[in-house]
Amino acid sequence: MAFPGTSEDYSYGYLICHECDLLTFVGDVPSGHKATCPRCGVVFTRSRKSALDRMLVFGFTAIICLLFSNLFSYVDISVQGQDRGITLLETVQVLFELDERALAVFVLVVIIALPTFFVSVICWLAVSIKLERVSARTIRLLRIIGYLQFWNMAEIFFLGILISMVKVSSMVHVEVGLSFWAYAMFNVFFIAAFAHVDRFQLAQAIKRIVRDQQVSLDAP
Amino acid sequence: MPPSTSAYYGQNLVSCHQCDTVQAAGQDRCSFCGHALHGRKRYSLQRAWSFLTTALILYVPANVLPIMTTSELGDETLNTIAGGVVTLWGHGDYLIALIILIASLLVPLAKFVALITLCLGSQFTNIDKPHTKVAVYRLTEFVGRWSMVDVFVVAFLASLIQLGNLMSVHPGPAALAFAGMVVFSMLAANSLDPKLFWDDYEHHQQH
Repeated sequence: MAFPGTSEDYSYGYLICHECDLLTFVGDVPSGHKATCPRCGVVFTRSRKSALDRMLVFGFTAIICLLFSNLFSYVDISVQGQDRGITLLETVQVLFELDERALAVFVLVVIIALPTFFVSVICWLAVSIKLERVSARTIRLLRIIGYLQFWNMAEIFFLGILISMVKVSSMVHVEVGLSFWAYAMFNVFFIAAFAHVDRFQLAQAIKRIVRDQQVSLDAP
Repeated sequence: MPPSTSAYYGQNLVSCHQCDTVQAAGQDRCSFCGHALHGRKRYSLQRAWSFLTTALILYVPANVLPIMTTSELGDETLNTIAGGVVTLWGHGDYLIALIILIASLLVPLAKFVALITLCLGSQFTNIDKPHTKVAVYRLTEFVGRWSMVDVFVVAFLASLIQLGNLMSVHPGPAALAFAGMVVFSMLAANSLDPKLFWDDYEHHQQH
């Protein structure tokens, strides 16, 4: 073994803990196992069985559910003979019409735009690793995934819908539409896809492809 | 046998923020993916303090101003967050009242206390209980986003309940202030580098 400053190659299998700065050799984690930091206990990586396939399956299903959830109204209310139902995108549209532009843009970004983009990135990444076509762009997706994980709030919005329905159920008659269930399923599949994304495992997979193909990644 | 339990404190080795590749420090760009290399989050404490201050300032209008306006047959009611909790409790919706109370009022406050303590601790002394600090930090990062639920409740109700004179809901100025507070406190937690808690750990253990 060699220490820093010498010629030891740390580029494969090593990790510096994001939370406590400890250098650890992780190597290839057998599927179904996880690796944790020996000092601070943070989970470094989880190796899940056929993670790439599942990312693709759950990701595509989530996209289809999201499409369906935009087609019909997801919540209908009726009070004293007046009915009203809105679709997911109409939620944003009505906020715009109420002149709450900042709120509308924020809602649009965190509940529709980011989740859609996120699922697409997951699928794109899984396909490019499966087809063994990796480039500098593929690695950039790993960082984007980190940002998207941070800002996505689809499941919080879903909790918000549930709370709102209980809140108004004493005043108005509330019914959930077809799209409500589609959006609920979107959240389930989205979280399932998300649970199979592991930066370390993906980076290792990309490194193995690069090593096997003897290609060099041109720095962007 | 690889070294499995020794830290290099970012002096000799760094990991790339984009691809996590471990490599010698001192280069400008990652040897694997070409991303700019820095060992630690840059200006961690300065950024954390400034985001935290912004969030604290926004906490005032978020709680004092009305978060939504309900008009029913010409009667306008202004609701603040705390007022909403009291109303819900009065209606017997205890679970919802508790969720809103915890997510909108207690969690942001606890988060401010936690982040201020962590920042102060990293600013002055660094030898105390890094394990506890990192546990608090993780909790802060995890719960932060869930405070946003109240903003979504308002956004959703405002778009759903638009029945003209019969009944309508409009978002109040506090909705945006509250959303801003949550975003800035998330940014504060994200800028604080937990590696700071461990800086003197090894040194301290030897004594």
